[in-house]
Amino acid sequence: MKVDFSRLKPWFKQRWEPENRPWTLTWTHLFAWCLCWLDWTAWHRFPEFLIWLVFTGAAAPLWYWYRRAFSDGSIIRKRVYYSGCILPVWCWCTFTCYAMGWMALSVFFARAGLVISFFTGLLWVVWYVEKESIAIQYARLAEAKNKKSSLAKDAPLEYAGPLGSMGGPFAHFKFAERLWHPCDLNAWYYGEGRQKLHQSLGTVFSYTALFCFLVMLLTSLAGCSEIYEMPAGGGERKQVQQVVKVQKVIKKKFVINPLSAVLFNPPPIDEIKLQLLEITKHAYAVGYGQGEGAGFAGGTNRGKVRFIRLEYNGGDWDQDFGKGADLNLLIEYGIRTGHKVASKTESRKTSDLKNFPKRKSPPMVYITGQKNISMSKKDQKILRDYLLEKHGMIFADNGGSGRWHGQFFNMMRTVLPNVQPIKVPLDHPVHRVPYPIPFLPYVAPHGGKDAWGWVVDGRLAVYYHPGDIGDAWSDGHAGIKTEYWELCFQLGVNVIFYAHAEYNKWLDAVKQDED
Amino acid sequence: MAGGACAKLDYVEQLPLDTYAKMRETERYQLQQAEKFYLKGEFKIALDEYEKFLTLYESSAAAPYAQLMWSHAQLKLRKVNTAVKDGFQSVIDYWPESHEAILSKYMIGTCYREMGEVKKGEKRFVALLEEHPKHLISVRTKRNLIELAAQADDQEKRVKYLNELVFKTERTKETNYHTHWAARELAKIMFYESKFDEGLKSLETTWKGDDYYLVRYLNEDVYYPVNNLSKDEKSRERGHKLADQAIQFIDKKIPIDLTDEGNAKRARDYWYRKAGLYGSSGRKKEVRETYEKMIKIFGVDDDIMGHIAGWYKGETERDKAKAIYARFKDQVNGQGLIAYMFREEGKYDDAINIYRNLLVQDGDNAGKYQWAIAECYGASKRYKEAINTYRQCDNHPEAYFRMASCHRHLKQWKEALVLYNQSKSYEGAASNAQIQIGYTYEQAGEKEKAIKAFQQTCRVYPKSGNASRAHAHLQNAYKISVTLGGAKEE
Repeated sequence: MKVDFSRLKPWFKQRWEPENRPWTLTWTHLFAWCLCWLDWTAWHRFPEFLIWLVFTGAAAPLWYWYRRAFSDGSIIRKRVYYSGCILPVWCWCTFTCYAMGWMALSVFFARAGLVISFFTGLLWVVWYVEKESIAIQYARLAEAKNKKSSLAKDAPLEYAGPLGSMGGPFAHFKFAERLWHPCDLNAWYYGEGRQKLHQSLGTVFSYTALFCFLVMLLTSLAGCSEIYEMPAGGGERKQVQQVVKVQKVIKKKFVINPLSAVLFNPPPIDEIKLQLLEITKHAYAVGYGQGEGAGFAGGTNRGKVRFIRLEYNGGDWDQDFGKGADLNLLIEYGIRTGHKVASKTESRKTSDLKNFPKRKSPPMVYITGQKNISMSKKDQKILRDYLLEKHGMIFADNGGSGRWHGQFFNMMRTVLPNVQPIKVPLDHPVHRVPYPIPFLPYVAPHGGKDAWGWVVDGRLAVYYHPGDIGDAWSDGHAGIKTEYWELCFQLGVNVIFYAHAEYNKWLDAVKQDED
Repeated sequence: MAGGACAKLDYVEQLPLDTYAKMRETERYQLQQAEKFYLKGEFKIALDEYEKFLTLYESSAAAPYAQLMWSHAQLKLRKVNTAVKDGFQSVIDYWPESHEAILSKYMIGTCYREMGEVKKGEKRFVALLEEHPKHLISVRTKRNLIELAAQADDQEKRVKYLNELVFKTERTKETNYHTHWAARELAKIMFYESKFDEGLKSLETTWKGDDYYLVRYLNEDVYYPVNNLSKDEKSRERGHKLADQAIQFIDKKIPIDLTDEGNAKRARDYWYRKAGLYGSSGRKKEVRETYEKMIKIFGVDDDIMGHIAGWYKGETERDKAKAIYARFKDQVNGQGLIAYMFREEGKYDDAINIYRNLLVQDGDNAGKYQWAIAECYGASKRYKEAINTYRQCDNHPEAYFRMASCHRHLKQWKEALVLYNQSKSYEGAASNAQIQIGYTYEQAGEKEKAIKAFQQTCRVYPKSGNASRAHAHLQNAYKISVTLGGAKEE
């Protein structure tokens, strides 16, 4: 099929006429804005700076329309303008904080924006329904007086009076037919009395349901598909070893005149101490499989180690999230292993895990909190599939209460009902590679003093730390001793590495099976 | 066994007597040293001592045992992989014919189980069972297999191994512990399936001829199946039938000659069990009739009355229960129980009146009643009276905590702080006292001091549950992440 572009030319020309130009530019920007929003929430293809630029660029049309809205002094126009500003401003604030790595603030803006949008929408709906309702009643009264309405012929008019009209229509009619218009107080489903109350309740409920549906629709749209790729490379699953290298040997020569009158006591040769300089370095690349540089054989060149935490209902999943908190661990992981890491930590809903394809899903997700964990059966199934089918791993950290310990164990009972939790031995690979952990460090014993694990086919599918390890990673390290927070970092590195190495091992096995 | 410590060591940790006989005195001494530390819980030192034994006496008859114990010490240090690879496997490799090699095979299975590698563990257990079906360790192996089957919800396998343990295993001093457990497990399964006779048969393999224990375990094992079956309308008939079968069996076992004190005691116990079974199947009328029959047989006494009152209480007929307690021959006990019921109902003045009377009647237990009175005052928010009464009690530091709590309700912060500081001298209560100091400062509006007190809790008592609470509180209430805690698992 051949497209005749010359026919489109006049249409574009018309769109570019001075009176149409603002609309054209606004719609174009809106289109770009939607694309960026979709990329931010689902595709993850565009560079962050571009998205930020487009989101910030929304200021230009907003400024233009601000001038237009305030030119004629119409209050409704102003309000429409303010309402229209909510979405771009909300998105800009949330994205900017996200891009800066201020995750907690980003989450705050995301929630606040949702609440503000809900109430703004509600106010508009209430205003519209009320306006329409009054208009309908006035029109009906006028028709009844003029006896023009076919409706009024069968409908004897009876005024409700000032008190009566407070909860219902101005006047009562008797209608031959059922009225359906929701803005009409005489609609049959509002009943005989308290029509106004019923209308208000109906409006609120309908609006809330529609809003929830839209939010669900948009959030499910946001999670169309996503991939996780490990950094390419190779290496060994071995402990970090200290290598002592003799850098310089200073040999001292004693020149002694045996006939000298001065008495010398030269030390025996064995006692001459060698001046050694001790250095420590990795004797090997930390990683898995054959490949150049530290990384994973199953990874790709643009792949990175990402730190994804799970969002869940009922609690504070965003504890110690982002810059100055869990990002510290990700940075440390990158420095210590030489693997490429993401520039910031991320969060995903449990339902988002299903959007990752089977061999490109995150090898590990992190979950923390100190309140309740509420998870639907659907989410439990997604999590089960993630652990069993997609070979994922959960790194859980009790962020501050015995209750969360119970909540997490209960959740695991439903997610993996046939797997009993075990105390992870201190010589388990997760405690040995790349860093040997001599004892389990913790900030506070919220869930006891032992690390627990859920083992599936010989692999640790869930690792549970009982004592707020996330606090030790954050700036200030919760004020605990250096020895402990250093171990907490080492343990964090071990868990991330274990998950990725096991994932790579599984990828190899799958590939071998296919071959 | 070396050092006469065999009573403290498990079967899998014990040295066979014939090996002990073959050992030289120096070897015995070295092993005793190692064992001493092992039993004291100093496993790192024990590990070194066993290693020393292996270095010095490599060709000793006890060398496999030392290697086995070295592995056990690793297990205690939670190094399960090391225990398997460098310990138990070495015993199998170097001394394959030894008794310890068999134990090591079993231990490898349990280690795999402990590490969550259930399939590997099961495989090892099955292989061991095929290799050594008659060995004592096979009993433990079967038990492990039963537990694994229960975990995997494989009822068929579970029943198969239970049957083997119950009906095909020779009963000895060493096997009794596991066979008794198996007999009860099997009985419970049978009772849940409403197979009363099979369940009874399983119990009789172990307690036939010992009526007391047979009735006791029958009652205990049938109780919950009866209760669960009777709750559901569909299975209620089965539940009632099961209860009736159990009751009929107990009836047959009730001694007739009640002149003998032992018989009378036993008969009374059986009657209570009957009433309990009627209760668990939800048949109130029969429960009442059972107790009435008991009164006819044994006469009215506090024991029976107490059971009846307890039953009424459970049925929420509290007034009837109180009336029965009031008829107790032992008035002190009866009144105490009534007072307790008043406390449960929030009628603290009535309870206090009774306790005051009891103070006069039963002076020996004055402390107990004073405490109860103080609790009543505290619960009814009469804090001044509560403090005065707690002051007369001597169960410290609990009394200090209660008094301090009352002072806090009265906003007397200084007094509360003094009491908490006094409580800190009690080792077990120190961390709680410290965190309470923090809460007291917080209530008093002294934020800085409160933060310091919470941080102190984290720093001084980092391993206690209060450190966890203080840490969380600092984060939630004050947004302070520098809590100064941190510790390590030992």
